[in-house]
Amino acid sequence: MQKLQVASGKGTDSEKRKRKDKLVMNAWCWLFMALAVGFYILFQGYPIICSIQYSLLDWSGMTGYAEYVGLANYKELLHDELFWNAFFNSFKYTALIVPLELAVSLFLAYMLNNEKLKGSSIYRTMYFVPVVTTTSVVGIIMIFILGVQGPVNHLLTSLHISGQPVNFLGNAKYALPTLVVISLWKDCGTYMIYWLAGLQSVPKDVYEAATVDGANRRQTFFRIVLPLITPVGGIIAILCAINSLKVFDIVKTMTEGGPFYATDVIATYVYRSAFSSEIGMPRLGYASAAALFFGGAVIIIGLVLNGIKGRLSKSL
Amino acid sequence: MKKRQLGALLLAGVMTVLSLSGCGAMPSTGNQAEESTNTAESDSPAEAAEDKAEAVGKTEGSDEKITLRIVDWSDGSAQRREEFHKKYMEEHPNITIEYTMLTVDQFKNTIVTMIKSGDGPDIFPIPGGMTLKTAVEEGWYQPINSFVTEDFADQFDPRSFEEGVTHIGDDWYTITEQMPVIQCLFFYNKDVLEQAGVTEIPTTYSEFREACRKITENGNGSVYGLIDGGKQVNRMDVLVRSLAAAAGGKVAAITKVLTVDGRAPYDTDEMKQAMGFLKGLVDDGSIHPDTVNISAPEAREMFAQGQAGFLCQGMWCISPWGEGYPDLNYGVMAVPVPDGVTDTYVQGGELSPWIGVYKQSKHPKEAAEYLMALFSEEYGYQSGCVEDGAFVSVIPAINEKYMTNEIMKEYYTIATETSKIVPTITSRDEKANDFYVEVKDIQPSLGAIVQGIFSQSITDFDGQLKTLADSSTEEWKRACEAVGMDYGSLEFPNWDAKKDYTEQDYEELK
Repeated sequence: MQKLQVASGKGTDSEKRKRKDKLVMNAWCWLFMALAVGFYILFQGYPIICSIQYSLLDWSGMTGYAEYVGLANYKELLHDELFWNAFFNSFKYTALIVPLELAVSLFLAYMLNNEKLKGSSIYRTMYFVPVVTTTSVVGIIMIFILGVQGPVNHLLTSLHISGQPVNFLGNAKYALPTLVVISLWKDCGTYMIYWLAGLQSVPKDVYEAATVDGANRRQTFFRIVLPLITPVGGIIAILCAINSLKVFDIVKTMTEGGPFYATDVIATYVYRSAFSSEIGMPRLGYASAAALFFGGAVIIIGLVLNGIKGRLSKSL
Repeated sequence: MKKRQLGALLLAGVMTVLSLSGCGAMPSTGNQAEESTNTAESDSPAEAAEDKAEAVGKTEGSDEKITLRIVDWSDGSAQRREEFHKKYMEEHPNITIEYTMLTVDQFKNTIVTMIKSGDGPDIFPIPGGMTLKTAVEEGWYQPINSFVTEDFADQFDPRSFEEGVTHIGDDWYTITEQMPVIQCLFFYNKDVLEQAGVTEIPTTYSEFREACRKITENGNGSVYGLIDGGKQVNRMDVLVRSLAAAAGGKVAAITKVLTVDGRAPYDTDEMKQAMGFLKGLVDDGSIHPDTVNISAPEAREMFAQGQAGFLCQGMWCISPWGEGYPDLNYGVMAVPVPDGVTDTYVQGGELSPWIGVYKQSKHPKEAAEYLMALFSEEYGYQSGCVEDGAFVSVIPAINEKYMTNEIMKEYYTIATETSKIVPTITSRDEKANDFYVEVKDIQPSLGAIVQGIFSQSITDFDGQLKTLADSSTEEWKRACEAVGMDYGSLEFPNWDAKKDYTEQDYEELK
């Protein structure tokens, strides 16, 4: 009995020590996170709380006069055709660019992950250069490259691929796909790096085993590598989708949402509502409501899709 | 696993919300702004000026280093401004000028943040869409009367002063940048016209279309009839308003509101004629295909490179062409009118407020001295800009002496001959200031509809114009009601578009 008591006493001490260690560990974690959390609260948390407040106001953002209007801004959004146009354009853009971005960047990453490829670091840098180039500069240059008298049209007409110059940005049919192609070129370097990280996490012996089993490079990729890096791909897809849903700079620089709202996405719609107006004052409150509504819709759509996916996988 | 996926999705959603809502977030709320307004209002302008003068008196005569912060958007005269700053700092070694030039949009969202944080620049202009009355009520500006010399105001053209634009009562708040001149005349490239065999300068719609057709045919895919900055909806707005006015319609200038027969005059016959004229040019293939993708400065460059025969812009083009394309052989002409239409006029340029001194400026005296130098002959800014053809100065003596640029003279003459002053609701009813704060922008606007025509996204513009007119009328009625203004004040029954609208005309309506 005495022995048992001693044993249990020891157990308590060890638990106490473990608990203490855990507390110390947690304290260190919080300490290291404090700066990031502080910045998050300051630059993300506070603005979003302000946005929620502003979305309930009829306020230009320029004067001190702001009237509480409850959910009127949200109600107005529901009947605003231009908001819905921007809303669907954002999803159209995302639906076009995410698969392309994932496929092209994975292809590049897989090519560059080949150890036998000489000068792969030069290629990596080359593909990454557009990422570090300022979007506004890319936009301005692309306007001229894709212009009616630009080199792309010159090539198309001189090779008789097209009889007439193609108005890539001035025609409502082509403007959004053109933006998608430019964004793809500009951003695929980032996703290529993510894929490379995923590919490099695949153990070498897996490749060796596949080679021993007689698998060629294509089979190795589709049967061995792709299943192994799919979880990384999921994260990359989420990041890519988030970035494309909030696309702004390339649209603002190249088309300003035009021609006639053909490339107007939520971010340009929000910007226009918040900061510019032709008659009267801008509408910061309304713009805040649009941003929050869109964000909320994205969460709901995501949850619904996730639910459908869960049911489908169960039934299969 | 499922929880993780759900978590990832939620995180993704939240990140999207945060990123987007960040666009609209500002660091202060309306209430705080109201408080600051109340504080600003606690002192009368005169008292505030006295306080400032006292504060200035303390530093006068000292060698204290002063930094004057100036923010604006005057890109048309940027080089002259830099030269002026250099000279000013040489002659005032204790003053450093920190000059920031932004685009109009950048300025709009930057200035509000600066002022809300109590860190506004010493000198800055009023952003578009805001009236002087509102800006003063918000505590943005202070009167400059007590800081400028008595004879400073005497040199200005009396027409450059206007209640609600530069002054409120006896208090002088802002100085306008230039004499108002219409922003929409047509420049033509003489060489391009000559090569295409266009010998007569077109004056009517059909003549203009014919000239554009000839230029486009002769250009063989390299040169087109007309080019403009179609990406800028505001420029398209100016273009179609001017065309409609030249067709005999009664339309307010851009950003302004007027009704005709109780309605927003956006679906009138004249407006339809103007839109039809533009659509005709599109159908003829006479519009430069890049027009929809480019801004006004880009269009200006491409016109100068000989890519189009005509360009519709303002006087500000003359100076950059003088510098960048000294051999450009061009002229200027009036806005074309429908066939058979005579004796019509476009909306005369309206005086607009420009820069003033920040109410919280620590150096109001120095800021006012800067303004006096900027508008003096001695420092060469006004004379240089007039010489370059950048603008018509608000100082008549400078215009007389330095307006030597022939194209500028031609522009000014045509602008004066083909425009008439249009009535404004702010001159008629003080509540109009509140109306402009209250009224909401209706989209697609006239400019957006023109963009739709140019990009061939709209084939039937009549329906778009009707919707715009109906929605605008409804919104203007609502805004009038909200601020307690009579909707009838938007209508000027005694307005004859063939004559300047005068003070007497306003009096008649009282």
